[in-house]
Amino acid sequence: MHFKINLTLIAVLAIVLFFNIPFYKNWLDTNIFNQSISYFTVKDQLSVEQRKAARYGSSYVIYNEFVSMYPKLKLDSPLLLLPPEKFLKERGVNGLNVVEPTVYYYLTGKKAVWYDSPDVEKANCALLPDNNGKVMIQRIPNQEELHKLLDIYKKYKLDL
Amino acid sequence: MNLTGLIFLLFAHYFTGRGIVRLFRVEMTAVALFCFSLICGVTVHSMVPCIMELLHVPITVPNMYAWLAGSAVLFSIPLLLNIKQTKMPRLELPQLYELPFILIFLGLAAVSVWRCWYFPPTPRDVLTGTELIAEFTVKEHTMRNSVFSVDYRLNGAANNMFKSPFITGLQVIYKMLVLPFGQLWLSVLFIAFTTWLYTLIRSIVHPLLAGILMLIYFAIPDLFAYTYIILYDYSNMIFFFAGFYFMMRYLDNDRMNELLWVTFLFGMATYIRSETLVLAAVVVVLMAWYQYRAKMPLKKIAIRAAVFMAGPLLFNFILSNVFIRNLVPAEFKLGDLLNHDMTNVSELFARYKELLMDLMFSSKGEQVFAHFYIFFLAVLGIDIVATRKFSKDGGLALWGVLVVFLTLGLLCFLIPSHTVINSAKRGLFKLIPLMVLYMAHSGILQKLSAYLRRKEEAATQKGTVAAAPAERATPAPKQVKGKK
Repeated sequence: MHFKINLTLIAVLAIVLFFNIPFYKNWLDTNIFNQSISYFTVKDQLSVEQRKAARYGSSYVIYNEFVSMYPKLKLDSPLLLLPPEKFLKERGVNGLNVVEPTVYYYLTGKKAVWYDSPDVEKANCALLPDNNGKVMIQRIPNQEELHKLLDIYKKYKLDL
Repeated sequence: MNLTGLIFLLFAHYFTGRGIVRLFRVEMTAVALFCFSLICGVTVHSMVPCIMELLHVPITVPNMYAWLAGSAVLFSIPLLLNIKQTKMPRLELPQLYELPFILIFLGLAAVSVWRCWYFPPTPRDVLTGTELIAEFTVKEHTMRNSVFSVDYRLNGAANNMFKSPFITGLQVIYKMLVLPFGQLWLSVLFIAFTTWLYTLIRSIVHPLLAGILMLIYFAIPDLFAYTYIILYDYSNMIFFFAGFYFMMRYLDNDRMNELLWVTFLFGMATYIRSETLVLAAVVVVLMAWYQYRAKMPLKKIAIRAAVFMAGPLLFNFILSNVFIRNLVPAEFKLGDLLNHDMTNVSELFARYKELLMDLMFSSKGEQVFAHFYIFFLAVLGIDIVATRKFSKDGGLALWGVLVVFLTLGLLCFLIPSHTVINSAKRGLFKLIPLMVLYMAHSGILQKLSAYLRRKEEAATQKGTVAAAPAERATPAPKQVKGKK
């Protein structure tokens, strides 16, 4: 029994020494014991929507806010034209990560297109920056306006 | 969360998997049998929604319950036929000195399961592919759903829609029956595999050393992260390693049922990640080489190699020509993904250099794999310099490491979208349990293990001898009275 107790002490010592190696100590502190995602921190925010917002970040919240504005645009079947991210950044919009149409569909259940998507001619709303670095969803009134927008977007490479 | 659904699924996975394992009649410990029942059950069940879709059965909650229960009953037939042979398993309790390690592992497993439950699916690879299909399958009751009307190109180089329906199927099942994010199937695979791996390693080296090896294994940051982030590589690693380990066992006994089990495991690995077919084709050469050295006739070697490749080829056929062809209403062009300059072999060596210098032994590699490779190289170095002892199994594990490394580099060369930093990074997971297996078989740890076992045995005997006279010194009171 003494030998087994000695081995148990060696096991405890091995664990303590292992987690004192700087890298593993840091992993334990910053990852495993990460308070921001521990049960005790988030136990009051366990609804599906809260968990999605926590994981997907502000983009998830902002895109769903846009979708909530769809009724105001009075469109039968809204199809959003997604801007290139560089276009938004050049206009001082930094808080929005532009996602691809599939991710937009996953996050919101609504369809979107790139400027080079096959269905781009059907796009009827767009995300346009104002002068304060904010983005507004706006209706594209006609094909002429759509093509003006496409001409601007096509100057940017779609690079996520 | 629907706890009833989870309990139903665990039973369904277990009985389905238990029936499958029974079909192969492979001898394994009670723990291994339990773990492989769950692992096989989960993986085979991932095909159920695909089969329902192919048969035009609406993917609804009642249908899903019925089909999963039906599959469990169907696969339980081999068990029912042999019910008289069923014995109660003999479980060995862990030693006192294993408990500190087991507590740490349980703590880490709890963190993993919690994150698996709490987080929604995150990787872009699944959000733009299999998870997206699964989400809308649940809403629209068909896998050929509205997702395919969205522009699913990813800067013109996407093939996420064409990846294995392994994740899609399991996400559909778990989203329907357990919780909106699905995912908990990954915890089932993780716990089952890790439990088996621990029992395997402790059967090779002294449990104290097994605990230390498993601690190093558990604390690999990326490997741990992919126990709660759904992607293909962790599950692929499980089947690849299990296939490789049972192939090592098969080389010892040359039993056909074990070879069939090996081909099934490699088949499952190929079903999860089709590139495994290339790895299987290289592993079969290794197997043939060992058989040739063991003086097996060439005809026999060829037959066994064909049997070995049957599983990966069959499951690759099912994956590509049955599932993806019929379930993904889009055209897949492999030619677009292939390297167009195959003659430039210097690029191949550049990929190997990248794998070593930019990934495995770099600051990025440290973030991903921690010091795991350094531990492995230290043990290997001691074996080369000091003990100079390589067992057959240790040697085979080392060959396995080499095969995975060389094939991953080759895949990065053949398919440029298979990048070193992303795809190969997770592909390298397959090295990890092989390296743990090698370390367990290494000369230095075997020596240490033998020493600990001798000491432990001596201490136990000493304890028994010391206890025996004490027993004799205190005779039963009745006997004493009788003599009087």
